[in-house]
Amino acid sequence: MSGTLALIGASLYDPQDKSAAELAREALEGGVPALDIVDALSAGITELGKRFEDMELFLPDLMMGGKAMQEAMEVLTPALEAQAGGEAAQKKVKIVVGNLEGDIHDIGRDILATMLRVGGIDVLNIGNNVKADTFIDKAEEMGADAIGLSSLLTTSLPYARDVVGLLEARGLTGKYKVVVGGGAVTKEFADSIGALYGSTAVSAVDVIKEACL
Amino acid sequence: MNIFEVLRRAETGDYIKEDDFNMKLFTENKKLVAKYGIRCDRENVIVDDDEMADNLFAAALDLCEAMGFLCIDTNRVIRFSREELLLAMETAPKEMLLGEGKDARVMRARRVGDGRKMTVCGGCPGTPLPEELFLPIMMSYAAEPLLDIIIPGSLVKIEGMEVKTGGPLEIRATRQELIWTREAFERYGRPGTHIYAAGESSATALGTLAICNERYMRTTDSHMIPVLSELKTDYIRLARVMTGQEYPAYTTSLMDPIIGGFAGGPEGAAIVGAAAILFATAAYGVQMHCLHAIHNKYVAVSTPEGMWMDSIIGRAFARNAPISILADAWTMTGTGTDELLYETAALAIAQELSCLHTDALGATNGVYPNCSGLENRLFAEVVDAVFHQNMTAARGNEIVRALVGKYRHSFEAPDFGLPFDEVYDAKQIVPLPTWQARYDRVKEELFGMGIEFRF
Ligand code: B12
Repeated sequence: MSGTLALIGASLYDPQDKSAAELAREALEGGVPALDIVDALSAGITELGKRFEDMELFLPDLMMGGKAMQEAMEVLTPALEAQAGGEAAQKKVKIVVGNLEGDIHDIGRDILATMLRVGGIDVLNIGNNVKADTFIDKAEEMGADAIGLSSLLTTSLPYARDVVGLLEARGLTGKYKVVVGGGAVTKEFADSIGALYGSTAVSAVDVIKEACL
Repeated sequence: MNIFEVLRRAETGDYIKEDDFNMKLFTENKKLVAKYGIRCDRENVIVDDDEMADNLFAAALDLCEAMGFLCIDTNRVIRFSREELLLAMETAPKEMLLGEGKDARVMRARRVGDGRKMTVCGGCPGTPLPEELFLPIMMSYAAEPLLDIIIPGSLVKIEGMEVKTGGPLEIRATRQELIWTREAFERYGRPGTHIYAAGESSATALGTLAICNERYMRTTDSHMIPVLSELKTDYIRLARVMTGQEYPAYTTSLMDPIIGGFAGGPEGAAIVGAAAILFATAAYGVQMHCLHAIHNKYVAVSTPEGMWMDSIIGRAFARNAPISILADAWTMTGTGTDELLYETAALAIAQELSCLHTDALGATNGVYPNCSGLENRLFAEVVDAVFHQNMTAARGNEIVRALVGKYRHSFEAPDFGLPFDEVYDAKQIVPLPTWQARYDRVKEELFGMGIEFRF
């Protein structure tokens, strides 16, 4: 049985014939507790992250592994919810992420989106070159908890200030946590607009969860 | 190839979704790394294995054939045959005069053992600089005679107002950058110096169009047309091609293969970087290339992976299809620190011995205005020494290894150093005694390590 669990974890960074979701379903049907499967998946995704950091695996592997983890979690959710007494086990944080107007540096934002998903956060990735007001529209549509703004261009940062200003103008201040990051952003800048800051995608997961839960 | 044909292909090529293109690149490239046996040697970042360099070139041609160059505005693949790519390489200039009059400098396509040293570009590529420091910082580069051509930083405020990408101030900012850069040149008696990648900081077509006038970018200067990572382009980039052709100024590409991204590891990034050079030569018709290795964790080119990637590409083209390639020299640390000087020396040795030119130091990865003329001087002095002492690749590798040992800790915890006005007298444009003393001490140390400075 521990072999099954190890295989589920490993399938995230070393794809098997069966997907993580299929393996998880089989294990669940075979009587393995859902929480044990979650642990195995978490160990697998941590290993995937480590291999990515060590350059043994690359961005596409990270994206595929993140997606496989998400699909496996979907299989497990009913069992987990049943265990938690019919209620959702834990509130799931939701975030809209995109690059500020004019900015098309998407590599970092894609890593961010993947890491957040892996961290159990619901992510709506709205792409490059997003207008300030659109971030808010999308957050309203999604019922998000937070808005993540990425920028590698210093000249696109003023649009982050605009997002904060527009939230105020639309009477939505406080409704969404605003998080900024990306090469051009410093902690000082984030403070200056009253936003949260994440220097890396990995650290962003905790910053966002702490603020939203 | 003429731009109209490129545009035609961008409208009529085969259709593919960008995400599918990215994943296809990942799988194709993985196969090529294995097929051609490309292997990154982190201990010996200067490549002198001719067979591997030739294999890299062959792999890049294969990749170009398999992928094509994707235009993301049309989702169409611009395809080039092998022959078209090789013809474009053959007809690209091998030698050109950049700048004007006595200040003009020759830029050559380097070949292995051709007895020529690199052309050194100084400056702080695209680094956001405060208004009040822009001119003094550019003067600190103009004051360095060993810097052959210069790339400006970027202005992020005008009259205290923030410049917004695509906003009206983008026009003002790109123009002002060039006015002040030229002013710095004039003050040091070198008004004809070539401005490399003029308008680099402009993210939209506005800035590029705004500077096409002798008062700003001269026809003897150059502007930059990036390849989108990986192997992609769009209308904004193609609009710059059009602008460059008709103005006409020199043009340089920019490719940032991401090590650890869709290209894979350093080996895959090297193949993608070389393929991007082939596409940019054919599709953009640029005369020069700016090669910028990105480490997906640390960004800096001073990583062993970054230096190796640049090196194998430099050698591959020097042997198979010579063209002028300027490699970015981005460091983790900033001015005022010993580490910056070690990173500078390592990059200078690696680039000079890899048939590359340099596109200037981007201290703190181009994020903070913690940059100055002095570290650029060191770069040029190291290049000069390496060239005149006929340093071998083996010796270069030994010294680079030792230098990496001295700055390796900066990858995790970089010391960003100090802003320009805390290391230079910003009025007299001379290094402050503390910065000068540090530089003198490190230079002494470098001499002890085997770098035979001539001055
Ligand atoms: C690769 C690159 C490009 C590629 C982009 C490819 C792509 N698909 O993304 C290309 C060639 C297209 C490009 C183009 C340009 N670029 Co560029 N580019 C870079 C470079 C070298 C690396 C960026 C990168 O991918 N880093 C690696 C990733 C993994 O790091 P990251 O994005 O910071 O993300 C990490 C964290 O920050 C975090 N994160 C990211 N987003 C968020 C968001 C939140 C909310 C949080 C919490 C965390 C977070 O997660 C990631 C993982 O930890 C940088 C240099 C640098 N110092 O970053 C210049 C740089 C950003 N570019 C610059 C410039 C000027 C340009 C151009 C204007 C050049 C030109 N003349 O055309 C254009 C502009 C295009 C545009 N409109 O956006 C400047 C910007 C200067 C400034 N400060 O304003 C830089 C700094 C280089 C320079 N000094 O010249 N570029």
